[in-house]
Amino acid sequence: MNKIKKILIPNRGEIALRIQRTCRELDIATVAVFSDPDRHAMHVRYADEAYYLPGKMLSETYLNQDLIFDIAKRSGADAVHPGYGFLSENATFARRCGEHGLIFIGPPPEAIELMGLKTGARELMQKAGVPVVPGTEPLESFAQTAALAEEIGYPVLIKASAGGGGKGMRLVETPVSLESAFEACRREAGSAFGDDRVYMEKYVTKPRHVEFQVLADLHGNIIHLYERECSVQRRHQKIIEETPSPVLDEGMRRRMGEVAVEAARACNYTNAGTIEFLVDGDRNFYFLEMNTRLQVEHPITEMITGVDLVERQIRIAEGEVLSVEPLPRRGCAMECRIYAEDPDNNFLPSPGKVTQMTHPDGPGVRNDSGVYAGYEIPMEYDPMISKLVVHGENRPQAIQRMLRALEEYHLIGIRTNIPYLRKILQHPQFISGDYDTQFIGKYKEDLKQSEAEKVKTESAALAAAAIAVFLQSIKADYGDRSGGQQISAWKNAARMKLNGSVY
Amino acid sequence: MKYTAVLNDQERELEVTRLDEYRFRVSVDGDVLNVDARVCAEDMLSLLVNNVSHDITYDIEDTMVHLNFRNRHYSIDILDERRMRMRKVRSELDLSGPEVISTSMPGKVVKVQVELGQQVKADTAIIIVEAMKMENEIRCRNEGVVKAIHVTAGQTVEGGAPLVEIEPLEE
Repeated sequence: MNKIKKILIPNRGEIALRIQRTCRELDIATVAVFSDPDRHAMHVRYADEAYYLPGKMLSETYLNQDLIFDIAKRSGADAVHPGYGFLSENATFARRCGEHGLIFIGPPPEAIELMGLKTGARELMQKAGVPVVPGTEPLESFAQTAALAEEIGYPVLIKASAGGGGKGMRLVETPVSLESAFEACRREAGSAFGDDRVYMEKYVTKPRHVEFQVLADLHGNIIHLYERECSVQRRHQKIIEETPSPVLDEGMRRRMGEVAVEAARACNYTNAGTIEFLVDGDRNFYFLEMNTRLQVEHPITEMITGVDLVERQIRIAEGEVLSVEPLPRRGCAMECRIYAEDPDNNFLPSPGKVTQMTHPDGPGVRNDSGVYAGYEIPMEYDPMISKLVVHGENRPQAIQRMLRALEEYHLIGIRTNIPYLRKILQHPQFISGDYDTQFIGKYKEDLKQSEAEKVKTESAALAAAAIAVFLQSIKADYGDRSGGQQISAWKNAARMKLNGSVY
Repeated sequence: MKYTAVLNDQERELEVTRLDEYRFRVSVDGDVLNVDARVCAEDMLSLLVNNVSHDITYDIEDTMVHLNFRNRHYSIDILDERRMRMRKVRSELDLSGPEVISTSMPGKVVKVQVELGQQVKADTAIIIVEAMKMENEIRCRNEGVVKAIHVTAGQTVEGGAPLVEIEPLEE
């Protein structure tokens, strides 16, 4: 057994802090790195040691492998935890860790490479008997297309082989419109991409995004830790995740779990990983891709299983044998991603200084964040400032608890998507559990603040602002009389009360 | 005390009357609200607005009040009568001057889409600024001629800093 003593974390923000917290519990020293805008960040303040990454470009800072290996050497770190993003799914980096005698807390570089190539991953999964969205090779003729469409089953999508971004794509719902769609798609592909090859894929109706967490040790033991439902997405970005998925029953959960374990086995996976599935309206499921890292939304799995995934990752990397006993699962957990953006103004990013902050507390609440009062949210990085996670006995309780926790969250100085998240949680379609990845787009209007709500809250907010200014003007007067000394309004108020006088 | 509040470019008339140590009557465009206000900590108020309880966190920057009210962020400019008169005089002067293109948030200039002396129509995308990995187009309100460009691509800019000035067309 190779006990890890010091971990270098080439990452920032809440995930760097999240990893450090587990390290502290395990008496493992932590080494943080930081770029110029991050000197004040919580992950630097919390770490045992922190090293500067000069430069403005990501390639000079958080992606600067040479410098990171130099820091690992200088600090005497014996392992690296990459977090998510940045270098976490970089096979070269994982391989170089090994060459520098560092334990990479993650999968082997070969598995990262294999699953990184989406077409290769799809082929490998098909060979392993894992269901994938039915599709074809580039199509030769209309006759062949018609035959294959019958095989796959309507509705189908015809897509440009060289395409992307929705261009050169046609949805065909019935055989009568297949020929014209096939021809149109070829023309469009030819003019848009200079390549008129097209292929066909089954169109997944009411698609839901359901993923399974897996853990694999170095000795061939693989387990899954149930699913996470991630269908609430805005511009392909997840914003609310929950577990269990409202759409899965026990039988489906067992089958998908088994498939997830097989998928991990097929690529000789080790450490923590996630198998993403697409689930259609008829509850068929298809392999989408594998994420070869710890996921942003991992805390909801931790809440229902009681497992610390970062702790397991470290122990697996040390060589510990994983117990294959099925894990118990309890209650429902939900995560909201809080972003520094303005929901009333087209989700414009809202970086800046958080001048005041009150964060939620109380039963079943977990707040994974790197933000504190006085912290300046840098404009250089991702606008996610917090992951608010709740655990409840069941789904209705988790929803109510999340609404309560969001209400308790006060941040001043920046705008956040909290009012928007609350709208989603209160939407009948979300509450029913019958939602898919189209949810945000479909109910866009419902998720806006109504005019009546706006008028009501604005009046009270205006009154509050007027009183705040009024109290400050009293403070200024009081300050003048005591010789220009600045005294805060509340001290002033307290003094006035003691004196029994009304100003 | 009378104030003019500016919220989302709209002027609202406020009047605060202190009834006793903690109780206020606040009129918002003539609608009267009864408010009981207690200072709980520095820049934190507990308000009972017509008996509805609100916990307010706020920050005052000159005449601008930033506050969190029911999870929503408001930036409200509160001007007393003297300040409102000063503001009016200044804005009358501003009306004849060029339109100043700026960004509300700090960011990095990705691209300046206009050249000095170029004539632009209203609602033309003038400049692209990136903040938090998102690109945002900033457009002009009025038709005019580009009179000054203060920034170049790659430059980091503060929120509110003048980026481009557009001279209105002569009548």
